[in-house]
Amino acid sequence: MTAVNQKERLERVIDALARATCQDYSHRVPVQDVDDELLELEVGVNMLLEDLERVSRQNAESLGEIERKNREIAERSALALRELATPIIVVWRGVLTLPVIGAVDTERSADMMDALLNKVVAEQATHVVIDLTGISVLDTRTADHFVRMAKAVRLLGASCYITGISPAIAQTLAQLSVDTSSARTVQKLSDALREVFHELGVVVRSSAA
Amino acid sequence: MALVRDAVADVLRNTSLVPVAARSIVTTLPSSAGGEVGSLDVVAGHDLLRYLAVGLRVFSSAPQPALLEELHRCLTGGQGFKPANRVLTVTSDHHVVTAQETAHAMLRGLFKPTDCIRVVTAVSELARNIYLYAQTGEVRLTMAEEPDWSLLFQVVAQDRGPGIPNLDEILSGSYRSKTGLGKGLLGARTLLDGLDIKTGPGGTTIKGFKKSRPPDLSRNP
Repeated sequence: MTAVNQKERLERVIDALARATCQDYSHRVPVQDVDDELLELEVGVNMLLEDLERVSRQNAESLGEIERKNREIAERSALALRELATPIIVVWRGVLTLPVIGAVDTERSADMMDALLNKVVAEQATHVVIDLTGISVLDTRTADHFVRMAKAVRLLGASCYITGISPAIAQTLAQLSVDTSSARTVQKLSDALREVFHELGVVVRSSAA
Repeated sequence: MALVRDAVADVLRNTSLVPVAARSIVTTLPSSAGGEVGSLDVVAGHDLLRYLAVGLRVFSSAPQPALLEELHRCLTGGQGFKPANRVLTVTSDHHVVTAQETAHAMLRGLFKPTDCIRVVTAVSELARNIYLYAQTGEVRLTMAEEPDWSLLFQVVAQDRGPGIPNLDEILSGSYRSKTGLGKGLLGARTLLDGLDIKTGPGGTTIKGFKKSRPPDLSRNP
């Protein structure tokens, strides 16, 4: 076997290193059966490449793992968010409040309607307050949805208040000529609760003299 | 071309501002200041100006409208910032929400809060109509700064749906829709300064616009 000259051997080492720079760690320096200083270099580079290949494979695996976990977390939080999205609070026996926060799409509005009506039945609610403070934009469709929701609540025998409409939204709704006359609108959640308690004969007073 | 950061530093250097204050303002500018002077669109540009207004208030107590105007002039060459464009595809209900959010992000701080809600609502109506009646379409939003620094927001909603057969009836307000199309379209026209509707069997293109006076740069955002 003719020994390859030193220059060529060095070029092979450089070639392997160049491939490694481009993240191709699978290449190895061909090793001749000649025991000299260059052999140490060649073997050393190969060992290094071996390590690099192993580490990069591990990296890729853990990256995949992290991505998978991330997706899982995102899915779980989306689910949790949807559950949290319609928190219906029983503030008093028979009195429910539904604070609406963030954007309302079709799916969420259907969920909301379902959850609220079921809760009205389950709690034998007499009063429901839908609070829209957390909503920044109400277009005709979304506004219609809340008006329908109020109607449905009334069909179940409870009275329904809509609160928390900001001045900007009020102006917009007036311009849109959305008919909200079938829903009882009150400025603040607290105002609605005061009316409800008054109707129920509940007296709220400060314990301080 | 000069970087935004350097241009701002140049203007601040020639003011009564103490050098350390000027330096603090410049070093804490948001990342958009790393771009070239011409690269800022009107939304990013006014974001930066609001940021500078806060900085000036913090470091020199009195609001400095003249200085802010000079910064505006220096960042735009007096021509106004270049227009901001956003293009959104509408294929699902969720995209209506995205359209609301995108429009809101463009208008916030540039239009009065009430106008902001009006325009976002109008954009929402147009996007929702695309989804409800044409299933797919596109909403293009543009914010431009006129030479007199007043602002012009434009929305173009385009689809290849079946068209609106009873447009005249809808716009006269006599049409009562079960699904809400009439109200939404009529609403969008009321909420904006102008709405131009071209519709036919091949699809619908609706262009709307809203103008606003220049935002008060020294006002608290």
